Amino acid sequence: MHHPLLAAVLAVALALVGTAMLATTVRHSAAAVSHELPESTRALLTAGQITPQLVRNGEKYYFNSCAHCHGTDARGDEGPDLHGLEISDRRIATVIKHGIKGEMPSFAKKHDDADIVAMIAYLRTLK
Amino acid sequence: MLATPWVKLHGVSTHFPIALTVAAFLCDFAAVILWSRPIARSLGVAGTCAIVLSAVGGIAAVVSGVFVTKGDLWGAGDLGMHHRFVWPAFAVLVGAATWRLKAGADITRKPYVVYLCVVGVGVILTGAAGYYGGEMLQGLS
Repeated sequence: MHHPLLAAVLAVALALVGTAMLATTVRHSAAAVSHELPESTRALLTAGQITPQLVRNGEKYYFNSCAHCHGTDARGDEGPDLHGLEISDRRIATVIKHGIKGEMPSFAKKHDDADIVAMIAYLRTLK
Repeated sequence: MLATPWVKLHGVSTHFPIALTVAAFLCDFAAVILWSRPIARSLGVAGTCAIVLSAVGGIAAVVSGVFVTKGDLWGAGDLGMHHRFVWPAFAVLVGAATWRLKAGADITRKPYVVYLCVVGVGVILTGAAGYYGGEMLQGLS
């Protein structure tokens, strides 16, 4: 192959197709791993005042910060399924703020209390 | 995000394409500016090495990233934004490095300038991909 541009195009195609094939293989093997469900604990607080706007904001924050680990449908991926959480709002806020050592990062610097309230409101809509 | 070996490898490898694409652009930019001087050839060689190593680092970053996301090539939120820039950046780096290697040292100025513009686009894309990658880790302690 003597034409540099043709070689470049072929290399790009090969790299992207190779990545897609690797991703398919990894996706299939990852699907074999079961999702870890959250530990069922007693609900201590109610969701409080949940407005549609608050839920929309929470959904936006969820997609920006949480979806890449918990899944776009919040059914779990690397992190657990977040539907029907049986833990208190305070516990959810604590986990979002401080994270879980070795498992989940802290989001205290990225999201303030108002954001976290909105995220909790969104999570409470997931039944 | 669990601190798996893939996460650590991704964290390390992503910085090579980010830094080396900028280095390649600067070397080749200087080579174009100093086209008639003897140093231009040396700068071109340095630019070639930088873009090739950048592409190799990009492959390592992409492979480790695929394992980090468990095969999710797009995603949502910050991950989705990260991928919007990663895939074109990856294509630009691999394409530019391959073209540079195949074209060799005896290229004329015009295709060199076009190549430089492509690498410039690569700098922007890798920077943006790195920015959104960093956003995912914001607050990680």
